[in-house]
Amino acid sequence: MTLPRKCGILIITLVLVAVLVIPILVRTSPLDQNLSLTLSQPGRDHLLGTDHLGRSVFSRLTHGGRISLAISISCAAISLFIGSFLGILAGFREGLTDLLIMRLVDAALAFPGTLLAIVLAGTLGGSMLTLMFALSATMWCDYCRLVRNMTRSLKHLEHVQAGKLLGFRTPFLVKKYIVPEILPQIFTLSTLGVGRTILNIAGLGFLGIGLQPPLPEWGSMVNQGIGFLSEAPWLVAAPGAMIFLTVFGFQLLAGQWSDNKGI
Amino acid sequence: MEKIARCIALRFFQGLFVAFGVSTLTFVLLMAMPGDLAVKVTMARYGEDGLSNERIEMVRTDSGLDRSPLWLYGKWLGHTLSFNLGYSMISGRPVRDVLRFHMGLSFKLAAAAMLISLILALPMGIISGLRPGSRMDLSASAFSSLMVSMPSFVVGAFFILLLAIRFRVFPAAGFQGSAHLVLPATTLGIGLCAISSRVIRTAVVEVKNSFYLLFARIKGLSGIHLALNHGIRNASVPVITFLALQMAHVLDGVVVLENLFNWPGIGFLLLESIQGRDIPMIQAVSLFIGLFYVGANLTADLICAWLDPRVLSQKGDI
Amino acid sequence: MKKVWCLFCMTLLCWILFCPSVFAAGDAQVLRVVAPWKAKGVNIDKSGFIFARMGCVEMLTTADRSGHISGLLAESWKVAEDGRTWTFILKSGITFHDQTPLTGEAAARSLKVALKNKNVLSKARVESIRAVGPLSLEIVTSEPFSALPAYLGHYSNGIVSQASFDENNHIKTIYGTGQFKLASFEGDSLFRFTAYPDYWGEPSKISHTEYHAVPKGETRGFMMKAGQAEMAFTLSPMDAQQLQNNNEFTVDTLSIPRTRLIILNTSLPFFSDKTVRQAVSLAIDRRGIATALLRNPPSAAEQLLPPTAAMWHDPDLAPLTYDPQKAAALLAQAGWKPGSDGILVKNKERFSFEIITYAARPMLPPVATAVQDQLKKVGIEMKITVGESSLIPEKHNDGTLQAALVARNFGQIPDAVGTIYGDYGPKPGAWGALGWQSDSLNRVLAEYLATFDQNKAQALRNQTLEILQQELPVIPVTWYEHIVAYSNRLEGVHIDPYEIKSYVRGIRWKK
Repeated sequence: MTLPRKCGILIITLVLVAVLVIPILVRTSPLDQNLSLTLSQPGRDHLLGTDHLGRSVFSRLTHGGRISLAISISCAAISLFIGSFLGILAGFREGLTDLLIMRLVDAALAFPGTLLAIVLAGTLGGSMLTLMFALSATMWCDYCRLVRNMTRSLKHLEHVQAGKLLGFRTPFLVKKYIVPEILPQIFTLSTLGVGRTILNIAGLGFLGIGLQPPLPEWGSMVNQGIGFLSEAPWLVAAPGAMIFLTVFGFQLLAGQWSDNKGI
Repeated sequence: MEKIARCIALRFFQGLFVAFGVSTLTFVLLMAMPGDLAVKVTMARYGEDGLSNERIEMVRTDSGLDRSPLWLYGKWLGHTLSFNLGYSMISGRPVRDVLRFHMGLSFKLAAAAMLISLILALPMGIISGLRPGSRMDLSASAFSSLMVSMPSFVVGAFFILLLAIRFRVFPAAGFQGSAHLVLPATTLGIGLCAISSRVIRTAVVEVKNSFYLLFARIKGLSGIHLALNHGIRNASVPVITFLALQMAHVLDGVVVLENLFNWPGIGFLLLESIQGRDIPMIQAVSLFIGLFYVGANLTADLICAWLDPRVLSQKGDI
Repeated sequence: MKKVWCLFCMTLLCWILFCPSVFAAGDAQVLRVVAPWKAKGVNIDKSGFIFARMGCVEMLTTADRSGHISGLLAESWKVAEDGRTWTFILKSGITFHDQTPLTGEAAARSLKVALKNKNVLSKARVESIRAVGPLSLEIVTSEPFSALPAYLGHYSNGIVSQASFDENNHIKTIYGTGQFKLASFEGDSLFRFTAYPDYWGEPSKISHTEYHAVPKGETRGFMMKAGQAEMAFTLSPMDAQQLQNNNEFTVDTLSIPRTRLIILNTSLPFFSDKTVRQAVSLAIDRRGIATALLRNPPSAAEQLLPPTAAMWHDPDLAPLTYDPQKAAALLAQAGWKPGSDGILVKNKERFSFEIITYAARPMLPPVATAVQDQLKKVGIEMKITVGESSLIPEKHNDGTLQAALVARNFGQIPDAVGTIYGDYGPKPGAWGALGWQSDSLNRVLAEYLATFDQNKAQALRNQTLEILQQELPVIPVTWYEHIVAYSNRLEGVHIDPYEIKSYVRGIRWKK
């Protein structure tokens, strides 16, 4: 394991511990407001100060991390499953199935992704579920393309062909020969995907399409803080740093492979 | 040659089909969403203060929202097939004119950003690729990881604070002149360069380690000749394919930056027409983005085939 | 290799073709205004606010700071005995930007087109509009309607020349009568104006103006700080504070007749009871929200409209206050008892409702979040949904709206009766009361619209305000702060709380 990878694992472990453990230990609610104590500086009472409604930034940061990570990890997982399934199907069956699935991928990639997010969040309200759906809608394509191309080349290898001649059924072949080969690659892709989703949520928050208040989430925290940049820079710096650290950690974890595919 | 022509024709029609499918899908999505379209259109047209129930009914009849979705779709189809694209439900302007205005700005931004990203990415990628693991390679890698991990609007806001407000070198936002282009194009260009420099690096590494280069070297060709005749040409194939995809993404994926810099490109238009449910406009934009995506891909493949005819035999089956 | 070079040169060529303009130096003498509102094409009914506010198009009437109506293009007007037939006499010697004279015919055509587009005139019960002389026009209403002159001050009643219309009565281009004529525009985002030398009043001292539509609030602040604009409208309170500390700018904050208010669906079991609505109102700490969030303590809404709406503000009315104890007592009196989770319960129903608000006006979601916390302290659960602004009228119309936090404009017609009658009168509109009707209010409003006696009118206005304050079909939270920043290179700036007058009128460059 390379040094950057180790650093990546370290960073992500730290973030996960902070997000999962600290809210249990520190009992300040992320929702409690105090309008007489807004925008207070980081200090003893509030480790990272308070926001424009007098809520503890530290508490919002740790609780918000759970939501940010939950959304992005589930997005990555959803796209991984859908993408790999269709990818294997397309790669293995070829012919019309392949053509249809790949044109579907083309269509999804050519489909303006922001459109979907805006329409969904605007009409159904920006719940976690709609956000997840909107963000995964185009993410699965990358997996599908990758898996399809790998499956196509793997399929022609001698041992897979031999298995086929022996009369093994397709699901068995896939499980035995294809999945183990593609697994490391798609894991790397999803590692990057988690980071990208966190950034995407932040971007949606910037356009005013994000989670419903008062739920904390890193992207929307940055967005709310931008207005107070000069008097309370910690409102942007704290969640910004967390987003940066997490995405950077996932980048490192994904390692050199990410360079090769340029994703 | 015949094979190339057939391949192009096939790809072209499939692309057309995909773009059309995207546009139709958009229509279905808009119709399937809950809510009263007439209210949304009225709100976008007259603003929140100008909304009244009489106006909602007026809009419903004059924009055909009281008819069946099939009728609306047919109307759009008729307009599109006659290359007219119809009229905006909100401003009443011809969709074509509005699209041309926003498209022009988007292309300007995309072209400038691509130029900046290539100016930075080419030397970065090539130098790191020639000496993988060197200090230069590591710092380039660190730089791109850093840039990729930051939301683009944070980088943009930083540039505005520094270059527009602190030093007043460039305007903070707007779209009138070339000076206004500098900050958004730089922000976007740096983000693109972070990724494309890595792609270039990989392409260079792969070519460098290839057998044909080894063979050419054994033949005794000099360094410069080697690079010019064999290196660049082979390395550009994957790079161009990637750049075409990136270009397509720049058109519709930068709505956040367009908002920050008040650069009314295609993303801006899309965001606005979605909020107002301006159906003819949304469909025209998504058709155009779809066509552009398909076109960019096709062009990239053609260029690659031209540069390296081997690609054709690999991609013969589309 | 040749191929690669060829490709490179072609790319470069394309780039040069796409970016033809060179770095253009800005003209220092252009007055640049940035505001959030984009145009929707070049026309009066949808984009008229830009042309009216930039001094390009004028209306028959206008209002002064306290909302008193005076003539702008109209010299005078009178109403016949029946109270329905109005005759407006236009000022003489006025020319449009295409040099044609202002006539009764031209004014009548503009107003007729406006009426056809269902603008505010359609609510003023206008039956017919016609020119009765070279400089006079007659408007007939179906019933006596005393507020008609105020309605004519709305931007959608802007008067343009006959040549501005095509044969289908659509606007082709704008020839107004104002100090500035439209020179050029780019998309819906940028409009350029030049001074009109033959203006009927005093021509402007400014030669060129530009209107930039910049929807993102932060960006407006950035442009101002970067010296890219001389006037910026609707800034966030935080940007205002920063610009205030900068000696290049002056910041004006005034409460305008736009109110952030909560619409309650009074057909819901919890809001049908007047005491419960009063309790909700008492539980809201308006002063806290105005101070901490909006940085403008006087904007706490003590009644429906702020003092700037002089005629519609009653200083003697008992103000809306913050008193959580009394709120709790009132709720207990209405039969609400705290449940196991701290939320009030009555007849096994939890006091929990959904409020819808929107992000297009940036301070609404934070205000909703603050109210949410304050209501929770008296045992009321309020869930927030931030959606598109159109969600509220949609749900209002089909009756599924529970509550909404909106910023309602009472000043678009300088006489607030326009909005109050439409929102709380017999047929409430999409931003009005939901499920609430008051016969006494309807009577008062009907009487107000029919009266031409100023003293009686004032008494009726006060009665209206008192009924609304007592009944609380909507709960005012804060008055909207209109934040305008302008460069100190300008002098003679007057900010109009009704936003119907030209922004640029009376402004000069400092010597």
